[in-house]
Amino acid sequence: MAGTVTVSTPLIDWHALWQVLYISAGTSLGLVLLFTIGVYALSAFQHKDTVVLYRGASVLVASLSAAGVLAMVVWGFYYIVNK
Amino acid sequence: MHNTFLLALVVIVAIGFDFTNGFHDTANAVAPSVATGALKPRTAVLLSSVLNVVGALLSLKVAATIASGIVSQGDIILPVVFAGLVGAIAWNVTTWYFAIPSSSSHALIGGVVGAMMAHAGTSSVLWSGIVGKVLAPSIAAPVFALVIAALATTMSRRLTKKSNDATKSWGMRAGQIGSSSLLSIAHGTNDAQKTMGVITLALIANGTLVANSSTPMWVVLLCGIAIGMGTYIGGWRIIRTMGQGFTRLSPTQGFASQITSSAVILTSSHFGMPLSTTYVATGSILGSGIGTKKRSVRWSLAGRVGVAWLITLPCAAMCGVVSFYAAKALGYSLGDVVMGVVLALYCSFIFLRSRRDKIDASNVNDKWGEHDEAFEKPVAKVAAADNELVGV
Repeated sequence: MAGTVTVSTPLIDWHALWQVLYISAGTSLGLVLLFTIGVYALSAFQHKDTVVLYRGASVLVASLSAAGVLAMVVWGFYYIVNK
Repeated sequence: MHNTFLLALVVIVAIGFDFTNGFHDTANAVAPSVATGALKPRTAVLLSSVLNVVGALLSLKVAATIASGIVSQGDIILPVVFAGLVGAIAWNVTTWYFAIPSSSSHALIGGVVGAMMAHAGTSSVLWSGIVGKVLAPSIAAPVFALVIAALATTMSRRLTKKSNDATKSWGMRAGQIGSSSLLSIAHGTNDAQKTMGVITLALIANGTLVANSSTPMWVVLLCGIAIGMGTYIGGWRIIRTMGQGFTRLSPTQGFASQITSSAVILTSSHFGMPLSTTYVATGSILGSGIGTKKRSVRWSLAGRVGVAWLITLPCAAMCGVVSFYAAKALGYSLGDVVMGVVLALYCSFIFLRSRRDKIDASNVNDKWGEHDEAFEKPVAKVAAADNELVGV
């Protein structure tokens, strides 16, 4: 006996809402974390009492965090425009 | 002839709505930057207006949702769109006068839904679309923003506890310029599209476009420019409420709240959700207040704004209903002209009244609620803590 299967669409798209939550949480917390690390590293670099090696490492961390922030923003826009 | 005339009238009023949307929502993107001094007020609104135009050109998913997911395209007629826009502008201008950061998007959707119900009954409204695509994201998104901003602020504050105050202040303010720019793009992406959706709906109602058509490029450009110009005018009254009213923002809070708002709005736009950018920005600012050591937030103001949020959809719908019936009684073409004139007079009246207690770039950062003793004590402590923190 043949029967039809009815698939009801949920009123609220929980899946999309869940995606909005974790993508925006991941992106904003990631960006704030990277930027804060960069600011902290810059602050450490400006400290006059620190050794040269530590100052060099601070510059490296600050540069890497700036690159990370930039990469996340570029990836975000690429994702929005192309996906 | 009549259709072309009405269509032109609808497009003009839609552009007018987009303009009010711009100045009503300038605060969403610039309030934290202006409040912390990261950007000068005039520079902030100029930057935001340019980037709103850029944002408007990025995506069309929200426009598609507005054009096809709110009311039945088969039942729509031009006077319905016109009445909906009149209702939305009237509500937007009223809330701007009272400096309430309410949702322009809900005003628009409420106005169109009200006018549609007056024209073709409740069955012509796609209630599943209203609940699923408008109400659910509008409730969820500010809560997401509040929680994420609180976490981001706490994390950033704790990580930079031992860092140099001057460097931290400078760094976070510089970051705010970037986050404010990102938020302006996000606002343009989500909000300009709503008017694009409504104009597309009008073009479909007029028979210029077939159902489910995509938004023409001239509509995209016109809406982008209108929202950009509105943003440049600067809704200083609401900028003041959002920047000074809810909490005393430090550069760290401002940065965290703006990044959070941008992420939530851009992600929602990507999924075609026409959420309220105002609610998200407000949620983020409140969250950044919760994320401070003293958790100081002016909840009485937040409560008043919350009430305005609750009544925005029904009030805009009522304005749409009244506008539709008034236009219908006079005959649609003449009626719409009369309603357009009434709207212009009302907007002029509100503008003239607003001059009595003028808020502009010169006094937008003045101290909030000097007589509000219940809040001033904790704010004073927070302000002192912030000043210690950022070395001001």
